[in-house]
Amino acid sequence: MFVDLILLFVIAIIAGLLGSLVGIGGGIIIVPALSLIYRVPIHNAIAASLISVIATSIAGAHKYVEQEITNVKLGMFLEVPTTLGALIGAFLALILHGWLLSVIFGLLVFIMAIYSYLTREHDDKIEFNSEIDPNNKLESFLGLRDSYFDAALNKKVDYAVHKPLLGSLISLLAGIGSGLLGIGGGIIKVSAMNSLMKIPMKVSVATSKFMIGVTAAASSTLYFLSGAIDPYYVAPVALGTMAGATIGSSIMNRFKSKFIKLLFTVVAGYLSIRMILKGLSDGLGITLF
Amino acid sequence: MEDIKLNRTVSKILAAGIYTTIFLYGIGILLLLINNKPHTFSSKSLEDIIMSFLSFNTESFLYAGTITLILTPIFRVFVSVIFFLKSGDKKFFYITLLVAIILLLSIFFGIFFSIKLG
Repeated sequence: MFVDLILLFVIAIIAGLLGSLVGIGGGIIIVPALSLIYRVPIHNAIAASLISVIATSIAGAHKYVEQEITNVKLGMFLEVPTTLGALIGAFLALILHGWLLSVIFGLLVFIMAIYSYLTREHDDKIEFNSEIDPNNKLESFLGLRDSYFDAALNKKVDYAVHKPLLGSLISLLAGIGSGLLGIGGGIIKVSAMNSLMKIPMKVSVATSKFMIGVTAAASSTLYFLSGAIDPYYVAPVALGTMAGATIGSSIMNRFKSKFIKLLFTVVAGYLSIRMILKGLSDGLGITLF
Repeated sequence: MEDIKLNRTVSKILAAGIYTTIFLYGIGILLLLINNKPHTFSSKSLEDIIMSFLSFNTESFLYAGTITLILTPIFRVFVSVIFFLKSGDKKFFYITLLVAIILLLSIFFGIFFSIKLG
């Protein structure tokens, strides 16, 4: 019991630290850890992960909001599709079989790992345009222009929020992914904000983290009320991720995005394959290795 | 200026939520370690949750921490709705109100549709 709790806490710290650097809630590590090491049924692992996702989000988000890196209004706008998605995702998860959920989890995380690898050089190439496009109705309706101070570049960066409709659609998908798999969906939101909506990487990560708490709150409410949360697992996991996230958000501003993306690719790639193999073995009795 | 005020309020709510959760979870985990009883994983019905919450034991602290965590971001949304209403920012009042409605729906669905785990 003692060893179990401490080990769980340590795994959660690592998940939180890595999650916070990449802008995810740590769920990509927590769900496989609970499922593969502790043999917790995947629905319950997802529920526990969602709680830790909220913890990570709040712990990280509150610092970024304080440092004025977060674009709070953009976050609130994208929370509409993302919470709706989370609700749909949680519904889907609760009606799917566990093994199928493991396979879906593995496949989506694998795609994210590949995507993260392919876009590793992306950040440095993006030109931030701080003018609002008057031809885009929703963009000019929202009229979101802001700036933040980048400690690594040592200068103020101006930007405007572009293509909000496209960003909303992707946030909806990220929300579904989050509710379905307990992963926060930050990596999808961050990519959408950064490469499509032309928002600086650090603002995207901070704003994504801010939104993730609400996204996970929407879906975890469903999991909680349907009995999927065992607080014995949830408490050390949530505390550990929170601790890891706090360390992560204080050092995040010093890393180059390329390094963070490569790190994510390796970890997510490995875990996704393990989850696919587990799902196939549990559901269809197929053992590949 | 208004944005900075909102940022500060939001940041304070989130911080208060974290510290309360850390406190409740901290006590809960400490009691778990003192009691050192083996635990097998189990799903909990809404009735179990309410009963263990009311019995004021180790689980009550763990549940209270979990509930605080879930409610913190939800509370932040409701405060933002009031903030935008007061500051007269109609656009963001409706946007945050929509988020608040979706969150209420998730609570509503959770309570009224007891979904069996797959």
